[in-house]
Amino acid sequence: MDSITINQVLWVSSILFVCGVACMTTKRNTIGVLMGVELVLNAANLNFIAFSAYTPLGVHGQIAALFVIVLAAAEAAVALAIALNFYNNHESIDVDNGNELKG
Amino acid sequence: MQLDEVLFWVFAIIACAGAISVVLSQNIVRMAVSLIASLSSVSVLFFLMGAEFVGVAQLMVYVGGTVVLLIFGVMLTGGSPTTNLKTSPADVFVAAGIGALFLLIIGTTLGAVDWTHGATSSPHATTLEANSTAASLTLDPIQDYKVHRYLAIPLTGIGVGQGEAADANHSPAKDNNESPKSGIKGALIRVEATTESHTGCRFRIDHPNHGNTATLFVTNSNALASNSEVAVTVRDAGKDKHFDTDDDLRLTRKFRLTAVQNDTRSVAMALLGATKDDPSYLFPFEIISMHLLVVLIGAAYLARPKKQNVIGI
Repeated sequence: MDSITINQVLWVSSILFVCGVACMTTKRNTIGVLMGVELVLNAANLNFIAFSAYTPLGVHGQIAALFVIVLAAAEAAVALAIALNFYNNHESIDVDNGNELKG
Repeated sequence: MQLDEVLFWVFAIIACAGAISVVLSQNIVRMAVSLIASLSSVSVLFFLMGAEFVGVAQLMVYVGGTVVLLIFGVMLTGGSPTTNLKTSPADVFVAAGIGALFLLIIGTTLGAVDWTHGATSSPHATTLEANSTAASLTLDPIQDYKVHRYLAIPLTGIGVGQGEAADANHSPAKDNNESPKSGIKGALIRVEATTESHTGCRFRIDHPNHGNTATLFVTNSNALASNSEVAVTVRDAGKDKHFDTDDDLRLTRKFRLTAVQNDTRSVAMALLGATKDDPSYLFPFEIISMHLLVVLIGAAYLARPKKQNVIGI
């Protein structure tokens, strides 16, 4: 087998991305939707590191990946706080129950 | 099959299987465990690609922080093995279709782009070269390259000519013999690449149909000592059709490969802006650190226990 080319790493990243998007669209549990968001961000990170290793992007890809990790942690904290408040107000974690703004 | 290929395939399959299991699972706790497996495998892939600091940061912050936070959320929002929020089959069908289409679009885009194009640039000069009176070998000069990990270097102008001054791009006129296409009927050409100072660096030459262009693949180049000299040799077997005999013709071109390291030290240098060409990432990092602090305080305030309005009975 040949050595690992960038295409194989990008395939792994795209499978993770599509799984994350499918998770965001199909899950009824709010925490499940947040797990989809984590998968999408990890796919983007893998993409950055792949291009950092295989092209002249170099160390800038790793810096961008560090930024993504920090901001994803911040966003997960806020999203969980919102989910907790949602649960406290509706007594359920089902996203289908968040329809008060329905016309 | 080298060790890094085996490790890559094992952990890539674990990462993809974990991600698919997150989508397909109906139990929130199983989804969390699959997410832990997937993110840890992604961290191992980071290590394999030489990004050690980001791999450790991923393990500590993502797996040890964010996923644990998600599990705490599962605990506080009443997630138990009995609660089961199933998606309707129509939603599953539409999502599967859209997901497959999305993967197809991304996959065809990946296959259609030559990602190594940005990493190489082919030299344009051609020269003539003569080794002997009977025949001559040609190989275009190869410029120096900066290598990051995997590099595809085009080698052009490989040919065997007749006589002193041979054309660099000698294409076969009407030869239909099975030997490689060259000026001399029945010439047998081999291309090799060597370097003295390599520890684990691998070269592979792709010479399809032994034509006048080949590609030199350099892999695992961060094991290469910096500024190594690589010699590419084009060799013609001569009349006896055997290599390594006295009537072989050889032509060697040398070029330098400079390995660019992307390790933890270079991450620290980029943060501080110590390289003279690149900007410093220190100020944006400070900004997002303050942003993270403010966001965490705000999230803790947002998730505070609220006073319950008790209606006395």
